Amino acid sequence: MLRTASRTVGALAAAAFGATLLWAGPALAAQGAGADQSAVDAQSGADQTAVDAQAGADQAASADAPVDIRSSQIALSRDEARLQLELAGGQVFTLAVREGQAYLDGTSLGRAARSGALDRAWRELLEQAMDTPNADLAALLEVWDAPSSDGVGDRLDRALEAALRGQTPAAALANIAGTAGLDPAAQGSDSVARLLDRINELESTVEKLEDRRVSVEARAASRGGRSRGPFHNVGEAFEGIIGLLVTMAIVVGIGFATIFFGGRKYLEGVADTARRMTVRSLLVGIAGSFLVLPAFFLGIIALVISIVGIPGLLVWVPGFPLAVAVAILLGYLGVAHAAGEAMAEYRFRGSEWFHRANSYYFLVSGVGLLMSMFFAAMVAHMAGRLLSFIFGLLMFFGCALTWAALSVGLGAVLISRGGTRPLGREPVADEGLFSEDGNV
Amino acid sequence: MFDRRLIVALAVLLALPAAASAQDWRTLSASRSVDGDTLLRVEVEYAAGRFEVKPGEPGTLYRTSMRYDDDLFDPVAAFDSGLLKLGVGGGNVRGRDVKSGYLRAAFSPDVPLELDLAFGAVEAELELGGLRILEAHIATGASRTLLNVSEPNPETAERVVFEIGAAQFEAVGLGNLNARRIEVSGGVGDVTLDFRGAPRLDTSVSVKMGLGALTLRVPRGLGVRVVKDGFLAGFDSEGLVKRGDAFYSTDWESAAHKLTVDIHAAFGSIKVVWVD
Repeated sequence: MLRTASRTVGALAAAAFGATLLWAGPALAAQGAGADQSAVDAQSGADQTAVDAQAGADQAASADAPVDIRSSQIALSRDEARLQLELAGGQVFTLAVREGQAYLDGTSLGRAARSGALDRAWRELLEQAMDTPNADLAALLEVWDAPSSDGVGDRLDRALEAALRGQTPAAALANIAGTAGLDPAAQGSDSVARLLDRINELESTVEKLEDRRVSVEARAASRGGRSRGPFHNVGEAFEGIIGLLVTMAIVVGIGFATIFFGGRKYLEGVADTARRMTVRSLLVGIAGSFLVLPAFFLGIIALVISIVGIPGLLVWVPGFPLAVAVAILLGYLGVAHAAGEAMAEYRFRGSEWFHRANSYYFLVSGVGLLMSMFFAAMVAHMAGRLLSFIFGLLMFFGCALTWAALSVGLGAVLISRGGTRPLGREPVADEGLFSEDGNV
Repeated sequence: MFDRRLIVALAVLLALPAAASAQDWRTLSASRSVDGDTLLRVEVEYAAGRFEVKPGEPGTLYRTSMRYDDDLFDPVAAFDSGLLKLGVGGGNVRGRDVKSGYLRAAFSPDVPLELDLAFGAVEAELELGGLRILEAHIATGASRTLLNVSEPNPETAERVVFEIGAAQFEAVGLGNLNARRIEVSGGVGDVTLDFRGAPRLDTSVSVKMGLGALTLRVPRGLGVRVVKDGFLAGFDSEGLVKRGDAFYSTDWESAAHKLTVDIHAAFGSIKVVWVD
């Protein structure tokens, strides 16, 4: 960007030099080509202009009807109101009121104050033109009359009419300059002054950009030289995936330890409750999570008030949060177990169920399922800003799923008294599985 | 990470009114007359705002109007050799009012069209009825899209592709699209495919869904065959009879036109609704 701005400044300086030689729109095309070349081009441009002007005048005289408009482009913003027409003959006209000036193909026609009569009338015309089909556009543009407070509006109007008569932009410019009695030298000096202003403006932009670059570099340096390259997101996503895998390993490890050291029936009790009474577990879990803090503080107050219970604070204060944490963890593992079991039921048929279905498998697959949104989010994060919304959405769903699992789990732990009294499981008598009727 | 995001989100919410008022909106319109054109290929990439497509007036090849934040986006409205490129790209939309922006496009009802539309956080209304659709590829991001085919397509659309991100997508009147093949791939969202209309040929539909709800609205009289391969995806097959691996409508053999739907869905629900 800096380079582009610098190049533009150079080109404008060359153009300013060319423009002092002779004021004529096409002569400005000699921008940046060197003084000699500028002079030659300017001369040939002037000759061409005269020829075009003659041709244009002839054409205007011979054809009164407006030519067909092949395409149009209209831009309206705070600083600019621009109309670009491509005519049936292939000519392209650009008429604009921009930053207080009226332009025909980049050549100033004079001052058109912002929010002045001409500016407003031109904008109104373009707003109407935006809603008008090409077939009717020529008629709309032709009947437009500029406010006659000064000559600029008149020049713009005549430029527009010249365009609609099929003249070339150069011919239209020559016509306007000739009939308006403009002093080319004065116009030339005016153009040069504006170009110099523009050069100053661009130079200040370059300075600002330089300052910004310095500050960005300083910021980058203060961050330890870390740059956000194209693979930055990929790196971050891999970090995230590794973090998730570690978290998953820890959770699964705790679950395995629980199963291995005899906690299987409690885990299955919670899982059964969560699976068969999901909504009730969720509601109890939500209520429980809201009541955790009040219960904790009420317990403290009760122990303090009872005076004899004060030593009990030594157990209550660390024990209650620990018990809640264990309940939440057991609940989450229970829900993961239930999810894994549901998934296995769907996937495995017949004897495969007996070969592969076990609590360890349920736990791994369930935890993976519950964390799948986070993994998917990290994959989306690799694409950077392109999929940032999807990343956000997946993270949101992941968080929502985790919250739901934690709430259902906590509720299931509370309902089943830590898995000791699972609800929803069909009671099976010990002798029911292996006993047979003895009527043989 | 979440704390930082929360702070950013709150800052964005607080800064939103100020940012919105400071935006420099620009409107750009472009139109072109038909000049012996036999095909119009349209490529649209639109990041955020409101997007509308409809048939235009005869004689006009295309007519577009877009309103965008001039500080934020770079507009594209270029036509060359039968290819029209439209859209606004670039820019970080965080904290900016993007809903006030729009892109409206009207295309000739006389010139065959190949559409390639891709949009992001966009609310889109696409009226394809009255257009001559040869091919369409519509990719949506996090958006709400209503596609309507209110009139029969005079052409035969060989392939129509809908790539749906995290979105609500409703396509109505697909029977009018006269498409030989429709491919739908959905990420997360709510997808409704309505096959009402006046079909002139048999259509094959392939649906790949990640997580979400898929509703197939099928007019009575259209022969339907659904093959579903789903993982944890429920299927409400009301009015269909299972034969082998597929579900058939009772009038499958006798129906004048047939619709074959292959569904691969991971999670979610699939529902077939019969309409008159």
